[in-house]
Amino acid sequence: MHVCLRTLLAAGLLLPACADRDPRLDQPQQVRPPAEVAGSLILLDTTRERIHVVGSDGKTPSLSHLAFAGSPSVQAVTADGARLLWLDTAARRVTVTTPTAVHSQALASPFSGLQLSEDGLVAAAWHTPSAAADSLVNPAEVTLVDVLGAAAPRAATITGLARQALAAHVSPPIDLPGGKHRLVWVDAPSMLGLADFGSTGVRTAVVQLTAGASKVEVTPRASVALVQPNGIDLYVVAQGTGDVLHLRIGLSTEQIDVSIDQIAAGSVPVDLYVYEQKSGGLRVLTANAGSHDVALLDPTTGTGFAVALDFAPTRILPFSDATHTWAAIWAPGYASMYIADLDELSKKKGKALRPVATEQAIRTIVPAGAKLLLQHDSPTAGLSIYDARTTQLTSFKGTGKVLDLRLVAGRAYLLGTTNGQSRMSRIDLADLHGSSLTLSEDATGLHTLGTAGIAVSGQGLGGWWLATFPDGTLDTKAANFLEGFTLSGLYGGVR
Amino acid sequence: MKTWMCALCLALLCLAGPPAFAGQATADLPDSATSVQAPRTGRWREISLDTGGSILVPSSISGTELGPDRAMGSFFLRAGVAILSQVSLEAQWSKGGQKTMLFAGSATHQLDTHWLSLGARWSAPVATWWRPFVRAGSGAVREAIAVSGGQARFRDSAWTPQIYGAVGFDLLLPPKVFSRRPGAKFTFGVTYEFGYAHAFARDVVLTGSRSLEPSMAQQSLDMGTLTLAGWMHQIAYTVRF
Repeated sequence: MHVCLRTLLAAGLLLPACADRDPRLDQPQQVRPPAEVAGSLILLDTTRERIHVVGSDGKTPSLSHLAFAGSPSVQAVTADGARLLWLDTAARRVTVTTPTAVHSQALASPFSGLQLSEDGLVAAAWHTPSAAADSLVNPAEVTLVDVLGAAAPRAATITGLARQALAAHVSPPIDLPGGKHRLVWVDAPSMLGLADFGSTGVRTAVVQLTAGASKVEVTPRASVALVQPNGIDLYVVAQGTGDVLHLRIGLSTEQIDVSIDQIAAGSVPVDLYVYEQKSGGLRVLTANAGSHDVALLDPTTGTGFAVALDFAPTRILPFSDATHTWAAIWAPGYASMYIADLDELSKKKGKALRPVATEQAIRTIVPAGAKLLLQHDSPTAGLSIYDARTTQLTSFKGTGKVLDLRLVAGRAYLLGTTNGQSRMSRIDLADLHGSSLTLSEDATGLHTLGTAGIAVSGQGLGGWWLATFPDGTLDTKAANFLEGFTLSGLYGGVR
Repeated sequence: MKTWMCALCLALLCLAGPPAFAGQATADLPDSATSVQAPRTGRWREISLDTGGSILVPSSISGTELGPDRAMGSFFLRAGVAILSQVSLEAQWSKGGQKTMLFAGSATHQLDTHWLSLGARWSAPVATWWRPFVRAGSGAVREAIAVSGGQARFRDSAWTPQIYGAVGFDLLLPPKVFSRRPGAKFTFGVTYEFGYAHAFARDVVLTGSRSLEPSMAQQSLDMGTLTLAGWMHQIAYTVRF
């Protein structure tokens, strides 16, 4: 008995080895802000190495989780909102996420930039100027990633791209007799790097950009691509030149064939929009900040005209309804803008531009059919709505200082702060009727949820809280408050 | 819980019974350390009252990894009554808890437990001052869980079945220290035991109780499956009479 008891006592001291506490429980829980993907909200929890997915069936929110380990540095959502891409520079991989699946692809180089194509089917990974210097990289390298994962990433080194890449762009798909192509073009000081990813191989080329005989450095600012039967046309406005650079890039030949036309636009063109007129003929509209005007150019003839404005325009924002197309010509910080009737501009010239004065300076503009939602830096009147059909401007009071804005199913939602409280406002765009709801919580963002729902987010237990309004009404009886959901399943382990 | 305690006390009193109804007496351990006397008849059954502390060291079972690398302490009260010469029936209540900081203090996890159990003890007739024993039993544990952080509050509580088993020993002062009267049984000592307690698994879904303005439904928090189990040490003061 004595021996037995000694054994038991020894066992008592040795056996109760506590389950090791996961060291991540002692680290801050790092949860990235919600990202809207395919009607759901995706929150990356790098501490728990999982993705929290908040969905909605239109009535109640749902919660699910996906496993994912990593700390991506770059995030991008496809234009249709169906997929979320993460670029992890250190891990050299790109990850495509939907609310139900995660798929990663390895990259050959620690890329720090990611540019999606407009159709969201491919993305270009490239080296940004701010790339970390902890590993050797060739800034002329780019890689084309198939977002759907049907093909492995394809790498290219743009031979001759001697300058640091400043931006990368991906063309729409180009159907040529030999197969489909994607062109990646890279902006660099006084040059453009081209990488043609064809169905049979990859070709590269470098185009030198010059301002005539001047030795001023020409750095691309904005560009537009138009697919042509034998390749693609690029229209580029650049720092250092008052011209629109029209690059005709032939991809049907053995080598990439590039020719450049330069069309005089004005002083310091900073933005451009290329469109096909209703009456026929391609036109290039440029915003010229230096000469305080806009220019409408015919790239076929190289001719055009300018219309003087009373401020320096920096942005061109096209918008349209079923029958008409307009462009807002504006600059952040100015309390006025011009609305150009693009169907009439070529014919009526300056008479096709309508000045619109706003009470407050414009911060951003969101198009919604024939309407423009103008966001202002005002603590009281944060939103105006301009209707291009009626030419009426409606200013809304009491929104608070607008922090965020979303368009969902024909309604505009605003998140504002007033007197230290969060105010959520809803405006029906059909009749411009507004309603609002004051929240006691300190909200920071708005998110589309489901097909017609809206969610408000703020920081709270487990990283974020979400107040969801699944049917889009501000009826709190139908609302659900989610918090701490990033802690769910914690009894099963941190991971 | 009061109902549980009252029921347990009543049961013990009934088992102890008055001398006239005691059909069999308990072991009356001798004052000598080397011999054991036969039970006496017609006397009050031996009753034990223990109070002390318990340490539960959660084992690697779902939910228990949340705790810091230390044991979960509790306080307990136990009462027993002999029904055979070496066999006692026991009832025990213990209250324990553990407060854990999660994610660098951004959240707090609080687990409070009330264990209620009924069991049996078999004591080896070795000596009056030293009684090794084995005990086992079952009951229920009320697990009250609260998770909070900032203004967020989540709570849940529920009963779940539990079982336990332990081995240990009593170290008792000889009864003659307290009384020279023949047959005196009152004694005092300490008891130690080592065993395993296992509360059965249950799914923990916490209910939010944050004060919201305007009021709206709050989504519950599914923490997963909690299985509170582990090795335990218990040490207590004990009184026998």
